Amino acid sequence: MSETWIRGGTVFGVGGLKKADLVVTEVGAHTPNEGVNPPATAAVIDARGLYVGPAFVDLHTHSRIPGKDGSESPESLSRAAIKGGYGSVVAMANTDPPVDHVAILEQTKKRFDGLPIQVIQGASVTIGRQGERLVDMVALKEHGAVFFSDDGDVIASARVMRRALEYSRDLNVLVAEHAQDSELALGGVMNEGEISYLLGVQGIGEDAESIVVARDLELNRKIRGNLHLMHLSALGSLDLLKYAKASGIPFSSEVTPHHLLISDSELATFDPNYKVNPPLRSKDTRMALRSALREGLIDAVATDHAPHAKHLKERSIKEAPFGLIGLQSAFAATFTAMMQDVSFGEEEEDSIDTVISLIFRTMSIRPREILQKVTQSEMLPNSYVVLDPTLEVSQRESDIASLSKNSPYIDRKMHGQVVSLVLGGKVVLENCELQGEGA
Amino acid sequence: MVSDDNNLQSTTSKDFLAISKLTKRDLQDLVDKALVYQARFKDGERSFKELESHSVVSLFYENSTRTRMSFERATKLLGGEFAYFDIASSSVAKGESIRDTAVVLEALGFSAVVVRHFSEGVPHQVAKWLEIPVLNAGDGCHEHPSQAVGDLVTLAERYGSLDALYGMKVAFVGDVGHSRVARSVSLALSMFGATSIFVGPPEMVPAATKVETFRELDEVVDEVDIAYMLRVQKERLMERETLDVVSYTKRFQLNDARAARMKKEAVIMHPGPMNVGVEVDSTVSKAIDLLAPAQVRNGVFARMSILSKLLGGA
Repeated sequence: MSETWIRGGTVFGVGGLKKADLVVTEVGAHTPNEGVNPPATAAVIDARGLYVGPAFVDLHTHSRIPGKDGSESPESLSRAAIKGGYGSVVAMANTDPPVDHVAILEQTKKRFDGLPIQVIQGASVTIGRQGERLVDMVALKEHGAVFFSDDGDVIASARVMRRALEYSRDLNVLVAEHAQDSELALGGVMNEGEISYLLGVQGIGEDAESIVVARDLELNRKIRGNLHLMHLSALGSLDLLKYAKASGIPFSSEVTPHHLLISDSELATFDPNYKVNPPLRSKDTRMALRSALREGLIDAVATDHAPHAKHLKERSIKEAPFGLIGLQSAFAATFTAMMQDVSFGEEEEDSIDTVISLIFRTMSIRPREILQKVTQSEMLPNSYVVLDPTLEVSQRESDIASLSKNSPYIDRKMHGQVVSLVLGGKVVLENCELQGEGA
Repeated sequence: MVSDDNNLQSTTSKDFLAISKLTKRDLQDLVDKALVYQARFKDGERSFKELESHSVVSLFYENSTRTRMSFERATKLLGGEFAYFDIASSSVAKGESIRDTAVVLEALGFSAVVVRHFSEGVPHQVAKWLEIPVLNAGDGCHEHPSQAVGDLVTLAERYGSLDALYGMKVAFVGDVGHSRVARSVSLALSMFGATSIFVGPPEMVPAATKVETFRELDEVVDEVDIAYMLRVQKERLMERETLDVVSYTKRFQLNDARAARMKKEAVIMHPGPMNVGVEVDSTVSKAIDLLAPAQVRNGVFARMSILSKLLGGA
């Protein structure tokens, strides 16, 4: 039985952070008794000066599988996830063709067989993601689907959304919404505001998001389904979440690392790698999103990892597709963003502890809780990640494990490095290098 | 830790991309040089040598006869060759990426590329990919910087010096939000101390702008020094479900009656082609104060000045 000892690190657990060794096996993890040394057969990771916690879980990954343009492969996705510290990702259904019935769900799941990471394959909410007729959620649930979303597009019809939420409650599955009024967003390329005006680029206002958030929360007031609001990016949405919390309306929500770290001024370079949906917002909104994450109003950080083959992004910002890759850089981007807010009165080490705890809460614990509620089984008790928050990183294109290179983080100075990852008791990443099954 | 980013300014001197990337000094130099070309042209000179042995190519993803011909005329007057890359019959029509196309033009040995595209930013992207100079001939609703230089030449000619612009009030009337001309020209005029105001319905002048905005031309027509009338594309107007042509014309057309209320020294500008009966009436379209013909003429000298700065070694 494979066994990995992670020694000398600061471990995130139930009681917060404390210095401890950790033994990770195929079935779980425990703290070794004092004075006991690892057996000769065990792998040992030196985590002195580093942070250790449950492997990350991503609620929002576009695998592009099945797909036709070579943006990602199962293996490249796995390598990107591992380098990002992820043990599990939820794969969106906006594939080509979309995952909207049992046969394609089964075929798609097979593509991920044998990978060291877990891929939870999502299904679409409507047939062909056309927004008109619900998929057979009952049959898809029987074949293991627990995450339903038309992501990439909103569920435009309130009537369809209402029905989907009812099924989500009855079947105990998640319905995740890409909240964006398609009429308001029509033709938009970037955030609507001062910068879009200066650049003459058509904008997508924050109201395109918040009016759908309002609709969905109201729908869920009585229905009480498992509503998950994806990649939130609007001040109005945050106010609505507060209101919903106070009113006892159930929901969960996520924000992306890029909405926390960078803003719409990046578009002044006209680099299509900054074209993402929802768009990068103003600095004010970005700061409010950080506060919402810190205060627990937003549950989770999710990457919205959206690979696009190079030729697709070598177009004008009007023609290039929306999306950027984010699995590999999620920790550095989120950590860097959240550290920018730390008040100067605090000791550097204390503030690092605070932010690292927030990272584990929002990138590991809450995503697991959201998924475990619908899977009814414990996720990845045997998977841990080792982080170095002090390391300055500046990604080069050649460092990117994804087949696609549409990263907004290339040559951007950030802090934080995923050093090692143990999945199922086995080391798949050590000293930032892919190992064993991870390679 | 890492500080907040700000990418709003950066300059690449090999290219001519946007008024926002130029200084007042840059503009003044370009205008001065254009005025020299204008004077020599008036004296009958037709053969300038600055671009001898150079060949300029146009890469236009959007139809434009006037701007392209103006660049062609400027190149040829300077002794250079001019070629077109025909989008309709090329691999672009088959889905080739902009980068792949642009790289081909560089490989063919052209000295500079003049780019027009329906999307904002494309000349900026091409400039990053290529070693040779890239000139922006209009990118989406962003900028049309050579038009702005030409307009400055026209105003310098009219007033004797760009210093006269200081303190002037300039009204841009019409679809300001979608106008690359308005964006470039207002920016250029502001560098010389003129104040812009925008006049148009909310569909055309978005609230996000910090510039003072008016919803009726009558409110401002008697106080402006320059009325810059923007071309209204009827097709575009029709697409707006909330706007109709008759109502637009009533509120925003510069007609004979409104022109009569303008200050005595005030002038009217228009980037052309005019939509007579929409943004101007037939009287105004022939008015003596309308600088549109001079704008076209000076556009050529402005482009000679720009090309010669980038390629002429002067």
